[in-house]
Amino acid sequence: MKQIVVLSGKGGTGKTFVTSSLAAIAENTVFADCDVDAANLHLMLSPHVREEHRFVAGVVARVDGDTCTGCGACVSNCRFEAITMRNGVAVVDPIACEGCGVCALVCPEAAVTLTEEEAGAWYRSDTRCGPLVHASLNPGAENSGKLVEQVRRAALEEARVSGADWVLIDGPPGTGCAPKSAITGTDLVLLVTEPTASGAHDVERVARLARFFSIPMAMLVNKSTLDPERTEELRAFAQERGIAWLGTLPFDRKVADAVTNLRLYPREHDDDISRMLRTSWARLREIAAGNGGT
Amino acid sequence: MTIVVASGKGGTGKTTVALGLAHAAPGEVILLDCDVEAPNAHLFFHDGNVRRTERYAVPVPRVDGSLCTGCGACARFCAYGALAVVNRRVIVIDELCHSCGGCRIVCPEGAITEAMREIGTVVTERHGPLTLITGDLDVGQTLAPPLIREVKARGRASAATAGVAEAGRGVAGPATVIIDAPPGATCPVVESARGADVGLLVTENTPFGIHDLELAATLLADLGVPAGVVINRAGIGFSDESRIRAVCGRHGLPILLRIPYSAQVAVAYARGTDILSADISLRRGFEELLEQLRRLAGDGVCA
Repeated sequence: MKQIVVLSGKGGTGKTFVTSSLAAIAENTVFADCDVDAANLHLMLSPHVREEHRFVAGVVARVDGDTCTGCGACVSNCRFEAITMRNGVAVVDPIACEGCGVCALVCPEAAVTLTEEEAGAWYRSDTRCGPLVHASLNPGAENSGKLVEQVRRAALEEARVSGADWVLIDGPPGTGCAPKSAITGTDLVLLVTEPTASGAHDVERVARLARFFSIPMAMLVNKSTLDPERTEELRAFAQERGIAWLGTLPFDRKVADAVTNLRLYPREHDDDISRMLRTSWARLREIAAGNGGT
Repeated sequence: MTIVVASGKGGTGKTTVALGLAHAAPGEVILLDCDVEAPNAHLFFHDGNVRRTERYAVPVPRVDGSLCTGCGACARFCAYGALAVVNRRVIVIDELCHSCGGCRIVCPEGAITEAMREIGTVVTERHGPLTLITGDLDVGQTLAPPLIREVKARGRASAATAGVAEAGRGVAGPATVIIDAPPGATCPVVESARGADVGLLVTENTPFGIHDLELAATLLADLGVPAGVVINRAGIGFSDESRIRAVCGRHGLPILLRIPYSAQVAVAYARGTDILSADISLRRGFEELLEQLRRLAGDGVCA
């Protein structure tokens, strides 16, 4: 069983459009939405939730106002600017608190308690394309990396139990905590980018991340007609870095309309875009299986 | 006035809108690029101005093996699993450390000190009346929040040296501070938006845009930041705005500006041209947007 993760660096390049379109084509595949900060894949795949699990990110500090003497030890030791003194009593901002426990450690009155913080939920679901593991992180919550790991673990289990050949992961934007958790241990990174100054800048960063983990990459340029020249530059970049070139998808209102209506593009249209998505999935499978090369 | 530009979903046009505001604002402007995992605002300036680049580091624990008894108090305390005891020796996993400093306090032998570990860069650029401060997290580093805190601290210092009221503390002043936040609605966005006077949520009239608008709106409400909405690429997506209006109604968010979808602006954006240079007719809209934000922030009272 092989794992393929879709990444971009910059948000809004079309990761979820591509992932959901590949989902419409793929067989024997388990899907995982690892953009837990702003999960959207479930909107496209309209899941029936089979199991719901709560996600605890860590702890959050609370000060007992009656016990607190206002000495300020917690305020001066908190590195997250999460505690302020109000009317002579320490008050924790639960959103700023990172749950490290230093305040509880330094409080001479034992006025601080650390309580588990429910930060979201994750789900095992069935969809019209296959099993989906997804999650929702509460706004303002922490530790999306840990939730991404949880989603990936559950997706792998699903794949083992159902005998699936592939796990296709819709990744988060950026190059930090969450993308790192999404990429670790995968077999192939699909870079979905766009020929914009920002798209090119950020895909270079993700390519460095994938290279750091020695994971092979393939590139698909979305909205290529926005700037054919930069699309060529991206193709040259891919070649230079040994990234398999899958091709391009044009900027097309039909794509925006399909996403708006939550329609899976390859099931609605038999055109160049659908053909490109089909050949991309075939190439990805070859490369992930180790028969592709660049 | 400090404005945070956020969205939930990536690619809705946060940077586009932040740049539009920056170019439309009168007087001193400080633009803070807090999307430290994918900072892009600098790509839209082409005047080759001097950049000041400084590395940014966070403290991480170092254990003095001659003092450490391997008792494991540090590893038991660490909430992030950054310390482990193997064969009565402490191993530090720098990448997991949040720099809380607890291990140093809890160590009964005083065997732990802190060393600085570089995780990113802060770049300061000056473009006319505009100062751009960019946080650039090294690829693969995970600690975005402290770097964002640093960028905001630099922004406050910059506003103060410009001889204006302190930014980010709700004090009216001639400097406009604009924060370009990262996508999502979790800790890096919290760090970017904390203390802002007003928020601007950039969305598009699509299922993804609206779904994530709701997340970002909830977050700003939790932080007590009043906010309004910009609908970008208006004309793309749903044929009417009933769904966006429903979300805005639930969260009490006014719709402040619609930027119509334009192929010309999309192509200009691709080439690294900011929105007002691409279409000057949008300038008036951004000026009015600033006025509306000022009213939302309540600055009018102090002026």
